[in-house]
Amino acid sequence: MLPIPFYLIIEIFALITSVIAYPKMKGYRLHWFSYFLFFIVTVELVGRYFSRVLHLSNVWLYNITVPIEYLFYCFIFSRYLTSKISRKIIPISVVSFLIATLLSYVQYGNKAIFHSETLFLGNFIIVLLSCMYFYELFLKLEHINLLQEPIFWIVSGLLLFNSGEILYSIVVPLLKNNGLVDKDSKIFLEINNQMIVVLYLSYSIAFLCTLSIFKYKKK
Amino acid sequence: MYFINIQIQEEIRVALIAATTIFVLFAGFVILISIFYSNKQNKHLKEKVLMKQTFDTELTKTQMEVQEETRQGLAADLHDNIGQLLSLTNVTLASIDVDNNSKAKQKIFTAQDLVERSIKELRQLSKLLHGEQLLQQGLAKAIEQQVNWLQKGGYYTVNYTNNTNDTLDVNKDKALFLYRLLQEAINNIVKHAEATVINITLELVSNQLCLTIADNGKGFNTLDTDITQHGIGLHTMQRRIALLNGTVKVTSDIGVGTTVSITVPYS
Repeated sequence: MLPIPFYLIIEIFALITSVIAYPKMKGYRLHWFSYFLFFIVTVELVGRYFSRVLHLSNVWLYNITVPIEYLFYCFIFSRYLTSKISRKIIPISVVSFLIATLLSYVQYGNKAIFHSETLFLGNFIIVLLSCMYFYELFLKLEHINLLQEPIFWIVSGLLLFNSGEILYSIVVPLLKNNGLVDKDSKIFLEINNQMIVVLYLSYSIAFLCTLSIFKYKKK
Repeated sequence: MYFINIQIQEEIRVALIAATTIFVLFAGFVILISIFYSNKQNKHLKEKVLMKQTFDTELTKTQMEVQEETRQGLAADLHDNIGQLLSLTNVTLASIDVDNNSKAKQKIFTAQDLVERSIKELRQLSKLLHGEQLLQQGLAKAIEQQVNWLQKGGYYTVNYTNNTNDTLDVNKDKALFLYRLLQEAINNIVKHAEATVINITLELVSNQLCLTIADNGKGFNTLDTDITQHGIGLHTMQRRIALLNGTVKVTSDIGVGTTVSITVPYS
């Protein structure tokens, strides 16, 4: 279990900031993140316990977590995206994601194989929805201080994370299956961990943005 | 074989890291563009708010100036016309000799005539007083009233040509600005031009509302900045017209007269 890796420390930090900012986050409709982050940190710790203490595969745990994670992001986007096209894209994305998840379970059954196709589809959907958010941002006419907008930081983190992961999630399993990379290669896991740091740091900034002490005050 | 495999793995690793970096950089670029665009838009919005504030300030100023101008006209009319007429009535009535019946009757008739003229003047004055309210009936109507007042003095021959149709519907704020500019131009003619004829034209040309005020006065040198910037309030005129996205042009020839042409978008 120990020592706790850096990315997990950042995840715990994001959870703590979300708990501190919880009352303020209600106003931004982001308070669900506290529960979500609690779930994520628990999964990471349980996953770590399985692999490091029990020396068992934790793939099944992540196969369950990934769909929940991406469905939650879709839920958050559904609360912020307002354009007609976005309102159509979100349900289509959710349905196709659920079908892909089911197909993965049908295809792999109980085998300890990570459902990388589901992750890839999730990455793709989030990149698409993040782009939709930025597109809608361009259309907005009101005065917004982006650096103080919690959702801006969240979407930026999601866009960076999923853009960084999208290649990793589709190429690495293909390369591994064809024996082109070492099965124990750690470098790709490092990419993933670095992107996790970026994502959860963005979340932390977003939650801190809701606190009045971090608000920019006009002189 | 092992070496080749290691080499291929290394190449794949480098390619994947490079491609991932490109993807992340692209995402970062999108985010940076958004921040840049948002800042630019915020700046634009601030400028818009500032412009609106300037417009409102100028509008309030204009309203007050129109009221002041109306009051001044009112005071002058009360003093020059009605005051004189009433004084004359007073003198006439005071000079009536009740013992001289025929003369007294004549003087009463004269006094009656003077009172009637005073009433007529008062009615016209009340119309002038409502000059600002007249704008609610339309710009053309308000200009017409201003022309009537000017003609009444008898010092000028005023020709007013309204080439717009009856359905002319000028925005209230725009009408107020134009009405005030007309007053200002007429003031300049009265104070400085020494003119005898004033031509006022209101027309609609290619969706542009044009108001022209021309006189046959002594004219002035338009290159004389002392006159154009301070003397005739051209600077204020231009600033206000700019708020309406319009233009104001002053042409003048010494000994021939001056023409002020104001053009603003109609819709």
